[in-house]
Amino acid sequence: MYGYQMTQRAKDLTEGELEMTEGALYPLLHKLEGDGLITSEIQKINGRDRKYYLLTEKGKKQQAAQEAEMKTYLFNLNTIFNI
Amino acid sequence: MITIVHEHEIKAFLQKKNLSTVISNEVYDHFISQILELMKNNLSFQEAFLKTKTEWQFELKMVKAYLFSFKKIARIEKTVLQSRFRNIIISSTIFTLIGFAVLFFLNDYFYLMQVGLLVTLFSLLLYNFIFKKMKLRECYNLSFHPLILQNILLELILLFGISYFTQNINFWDMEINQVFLMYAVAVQIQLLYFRSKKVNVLIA
Repeated sequence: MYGYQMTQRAKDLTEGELEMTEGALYPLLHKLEGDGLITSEIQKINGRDRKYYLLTEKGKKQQAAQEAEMKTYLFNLNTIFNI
Repeated sequence: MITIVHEHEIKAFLQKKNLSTVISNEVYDHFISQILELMKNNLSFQEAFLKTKTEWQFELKMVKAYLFSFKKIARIEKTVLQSRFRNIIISSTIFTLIGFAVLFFLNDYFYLMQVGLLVTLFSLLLYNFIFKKMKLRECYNLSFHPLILQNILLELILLFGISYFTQNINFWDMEINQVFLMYAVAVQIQLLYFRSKKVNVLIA
């Protein structure tokens, strides 16, 4: 996925609830790339360079771990408020 | 539909922001995609461009490059570079702390550690020169970069502080200085490494 696509995907999935600040995304992507969690490749689209980001193996593991952590957190919150 | 004139207008706007090539290309692609999307909702190019510029206002605002700098760069550029430089400082500090531990507990190996660092530094320098990753002028600029000088200044203040509190007048002879020197070399090694990878860490 490329930067703009990510912002739109987040917007679509959350039905407009989550609007990412356009420019705040790139420093974060560069940081994740520096940490080796994502990798990038540049493709020419309509004569301009487009940078696509992909998860690395390390990134996939991190994503799975954080997803599990978030699910546990949400489950706990749900349990507390459903009492 | 975005015409060549429109593309030039976007490029001219981004050029004023003095962004590095990597970030500039990325922001340019984002601008085009965003403007095209807005134009689908019956907005003219100028209206869509203005809306996009407004949404990017915060990240593209020109701010001071460093604390004691007159140079201004876009906030997005500063955030990216700061994050990379912060990582360098953290790893150099960890390395320096290891150096302290070696100095106090395994004193015989401290000399080896220093030699290892210097060999790494000169090997990286040679590699960058042989494979033309860096020119001599760039090496000079890297060594005397304002951010590096700012770090050295902070280090000197720390040294004066230590020598004042330990009442050691001849503080340059203190063995502890060698550890701080290790810190400076560790920073330099990482800068050279990133340079060889063509990754911007410092503002030119």
